Amino acid sequence: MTQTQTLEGKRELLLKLRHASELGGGEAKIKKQHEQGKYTARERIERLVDPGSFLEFDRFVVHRNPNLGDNKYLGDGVITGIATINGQKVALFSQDFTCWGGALGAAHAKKICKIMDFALENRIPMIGINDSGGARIQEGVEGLAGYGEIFYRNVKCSGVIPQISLIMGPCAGGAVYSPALTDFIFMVDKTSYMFVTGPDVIKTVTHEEVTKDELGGAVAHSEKSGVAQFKVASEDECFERVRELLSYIPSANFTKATPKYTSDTIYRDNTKIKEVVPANPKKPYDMKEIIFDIVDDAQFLEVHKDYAKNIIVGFASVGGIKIGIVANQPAVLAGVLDIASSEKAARFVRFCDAFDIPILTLVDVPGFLPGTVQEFGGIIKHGSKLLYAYSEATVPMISIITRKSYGGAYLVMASKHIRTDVNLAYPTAEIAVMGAEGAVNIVYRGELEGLTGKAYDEKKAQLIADYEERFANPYRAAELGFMDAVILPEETRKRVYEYLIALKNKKQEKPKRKHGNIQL
Amino acid sequence: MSTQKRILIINRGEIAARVAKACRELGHVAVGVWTDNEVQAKHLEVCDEWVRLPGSTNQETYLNIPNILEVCKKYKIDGVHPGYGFLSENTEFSQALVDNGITWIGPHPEAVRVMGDKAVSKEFALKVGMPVVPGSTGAVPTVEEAIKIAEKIKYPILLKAVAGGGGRGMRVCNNEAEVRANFEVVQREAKSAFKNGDLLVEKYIVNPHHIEVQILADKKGNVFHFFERECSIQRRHQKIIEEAPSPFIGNDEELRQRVCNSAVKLAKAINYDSAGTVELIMGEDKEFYFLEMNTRIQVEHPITEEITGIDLIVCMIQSAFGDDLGIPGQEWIKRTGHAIECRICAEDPITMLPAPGVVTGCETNFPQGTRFDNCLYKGLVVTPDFDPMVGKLVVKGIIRDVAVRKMRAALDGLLVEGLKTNIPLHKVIMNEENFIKGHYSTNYISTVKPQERVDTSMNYVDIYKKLAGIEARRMGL
Amino acid sequence: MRTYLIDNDKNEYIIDLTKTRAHSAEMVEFEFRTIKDNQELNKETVFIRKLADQYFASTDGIHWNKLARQDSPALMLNVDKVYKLYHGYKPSSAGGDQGGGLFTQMPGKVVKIMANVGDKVEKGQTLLILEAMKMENEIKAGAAGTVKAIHVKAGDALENGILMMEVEPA
Repeated sequence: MTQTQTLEGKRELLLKLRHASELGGGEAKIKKQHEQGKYTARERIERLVDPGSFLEFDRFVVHRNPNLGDNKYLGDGVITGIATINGQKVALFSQDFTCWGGALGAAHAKKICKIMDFALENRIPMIGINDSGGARIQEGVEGLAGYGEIFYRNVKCSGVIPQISLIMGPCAGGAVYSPALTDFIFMVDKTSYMFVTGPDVIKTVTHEEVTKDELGGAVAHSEKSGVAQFKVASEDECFERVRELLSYIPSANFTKATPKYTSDTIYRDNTKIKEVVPANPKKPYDMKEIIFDIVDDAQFLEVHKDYAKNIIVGFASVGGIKIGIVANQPAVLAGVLDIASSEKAARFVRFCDAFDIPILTLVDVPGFLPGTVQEFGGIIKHGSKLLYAYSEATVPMISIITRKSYGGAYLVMASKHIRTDVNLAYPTAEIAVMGAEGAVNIVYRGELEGLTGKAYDEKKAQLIADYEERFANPYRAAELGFMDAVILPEETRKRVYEYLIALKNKKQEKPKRKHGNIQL
Repeated sequence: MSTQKRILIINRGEIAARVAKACRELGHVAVGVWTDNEVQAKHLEVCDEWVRLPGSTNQETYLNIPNILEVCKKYKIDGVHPGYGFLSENTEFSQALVDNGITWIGPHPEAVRVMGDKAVSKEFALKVGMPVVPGSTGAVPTVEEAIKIAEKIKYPILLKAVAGGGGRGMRVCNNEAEVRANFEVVQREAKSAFKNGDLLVEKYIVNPHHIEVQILADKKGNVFHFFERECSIQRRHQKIIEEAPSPFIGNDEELRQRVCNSAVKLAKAINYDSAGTVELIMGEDKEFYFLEMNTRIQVEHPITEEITGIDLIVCMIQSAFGDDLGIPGQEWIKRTGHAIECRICAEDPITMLPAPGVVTGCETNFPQGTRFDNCLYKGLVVTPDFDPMVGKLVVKGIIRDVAVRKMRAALDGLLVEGLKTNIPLHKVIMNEENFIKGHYSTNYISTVKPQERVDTSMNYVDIYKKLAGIEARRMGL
Repeated sequence: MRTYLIDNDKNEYIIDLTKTRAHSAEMVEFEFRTIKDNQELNKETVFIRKLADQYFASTDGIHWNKLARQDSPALMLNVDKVYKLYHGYKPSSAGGDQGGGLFTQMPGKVVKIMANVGDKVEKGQTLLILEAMKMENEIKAGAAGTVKAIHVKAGDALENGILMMEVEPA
């Protein structure tokens, strides 16, 4: 009897194959991966998920391409399976750079598609760890077809299950489109990069000299292009941030949200928040201080932290209820809306709407950023995206105007008219078509004409004071019912919590259509 | 044997549970109380009926005499056991109960009145022929008086509040200057803490041993002693470790008899009729002096029960209802072996200050025969409202060395998570050579300073084990 | 997976669970290490075994002791020190530590410079005032330190991204 004909032998064979698949591309390649400060695909999964919870699928799948011959890796360069994170089931794939640089072939892509189908059918989040050199040239168009199948599924899952991409190595050429279609991209500083065409091709075509990291590293994509929502300093930090993110978002759409455990009380002393918004409307302040005061345990997971800093978006919880927060940041660019910030906020609002996450909007916006750069850049199109996103959203929405809210920006930032559920304002709020200075110049042009020097200054100051008293306050809007209440800053947390409880079962109907035509 | 009685236990924590068990053993109904600031009162587990005392402060609940009388009437209570602390030595309360025809499970009010005042009790002890600490006979009105007495009894002396207790309202003075400096200070302290600014002057005993004798009497005039205890290990004049019998008295049976018999004589003289403890102070020269009498059951009664094998709480209840204790005579009460008790408190093991918190897990892995009277459970919230003691760990061995060994093992097997406890301090003391030899007096904590020997280095393996346990449970092991 | 232990003095211990191996239905092996200030302080293997509905721990697989059952405590104690426990991740919250250089965030005009080269500054101290977007922006020091260099003067009109001042962190 040969080895495999005994019961012992059969068991031995399985253990041997398991062990072999764990080595991936071999000890030497693993060592090289570690030297570059990167974990192996299996180590990444082990460190990301709850200990001992990973169940692997398709461990023994190999390629069937004649061009690659008998050179086969068990698993074909990608590890797929399901696991739990924070007790929540997730599906994931992790590309193995030690096997032909993690390059994608037909079998590799099929594994990823299979696990994505599993995630979609079972309504669990999909996490992808990308570390791949691209398509395998030897597999030809079959490799490309593999990508196509993945992209299709990314779209099919979009808005049904949360999709998260971790870029932990190269992700180039067509491969970048899969993460681009997902909801959140995490990039590890210095060891990851994404671009459609690399520095070599760029050099020959446009004669620009640029390094991989400059072109498509974590810094480039988190600060310049806005492609990556999270930039992390190390792979370990990346895993922690993913865990933190998953603690705020549900497993799938139409799933009831679980409360987030907190020991923070609702009715606590909020005296710090009283002083944040200054009386002088020309003085900027940090909106984050207001956010930290409202949320539980001052914990706020900021998304897209380094991009379009004039608007803040992120996740938090109030009284254990998980919410998304959109807030203008008066400390940066005076909190104006521009192309980048409109897009950043619009995508975030749509994600929250897709997954039934209530949105809290904190408004202090003087208007849109003027200039030819913005106008020629299409601020008209991009600004309308945010307006569309808020109008389309049917999740509970609460909006608080802390100070300025002028003109079109007033309407865009979750105003009553686009069906925000609760609109609040602080006593320092100014809701008007435009600020006092500009308004006086236009409306009282006649009165100011001909005056010079001291007379001009005095008249203007008096007209400004008059305007401010009439328009630069929340009461005009409150009289018309466009503000539901004017509140004191220290009442914010308590009220937001109470409103969230009341809005728990909100139902809003939308007219039937295939889909709208949002500006893209 | 009495018919079934309804007994209200107007206390909480481990003593309420202890008394409830004794009530049920005798077939009585144990009525336990809970308050608005302790809804999850674990002691109710062993009570038959549960009564709510509305309120969140002790004034509103455990010390609210009118309300408690209402409760007694409403729930047809036959007897009230006060435990220790709270109203256990309050004559107004015991008198009110007696006046309302409710049995007070404690001594008659007159005994409490006499023994409650330090000056009065001292006079009484002198009359009965009990040695007392030399000093003033009664309150000392002026500083000049104090100095005159001090010179007669020789320094060092103690300026002590007449109504004081728990170690408060006292100052040691080594010479005349210190008396002059401290007289008014102690007066003021006493006035604000005990509402009585009267002071007395006492000789300060050096290297004193705190010895106490357990007394139990019935209503038929029988008074017994259950040997002595030594409670010299104290911090801020509060006991943390108690032993029975006293290692200082050791095998000196003649001394033991003298001490215990004088305590019985005192108790008989005030017609004592319940459980109580006569506290004495003994110097290195084996001379002992009366300190005070606690007219209630004490925290450390378990160690006496361990060495004599007799349930003191059951006897106390039987005595209160006029039943026979079933003890033929003093000679019948014998002692074997040695018992030690460690008070487990929610406090910092080094500063020994109370540390409120929440118990996230507790487990015991004790040697055979360990007794742990406690109110611990996973989720217990220890608040500053109540006493930080969460349990009493009691062991017994055939000789003292065996008891110490068992206590070491018991401390190792007591796991309390989420709460700072003094368990590490107890462990240090159990391994400290002076304690092991039994050579210590009431200045043990301040001179030997075991709290400074507590190892505070980061115990990584312990943390790993705890985290691993949590992970394993999550994995579904 | 990492667990953070942080005490009131901001001492931070990272307990890193590096490997998990299930040996059988009753026993699991864990590899832990402790990291503080980027230094590995300790490394240990722990076995957990379930017996009669209780959990027992061992470091060698031979000697076992019982564990008290705990579910996700928010605090962990070491004798006399209480540590806040963060399981799985350390929440990313208040940050905003920018040391070093102060760049313009938007085009503006320097109104007033409030510090001199060599001044010792505190975190949050206003270093200069920039008028931009009709706002008087107080540019504050991100961390305590000493002013190393000032590259602008009052009245300068600046573009976006100009280095105005440099602060050497303390």
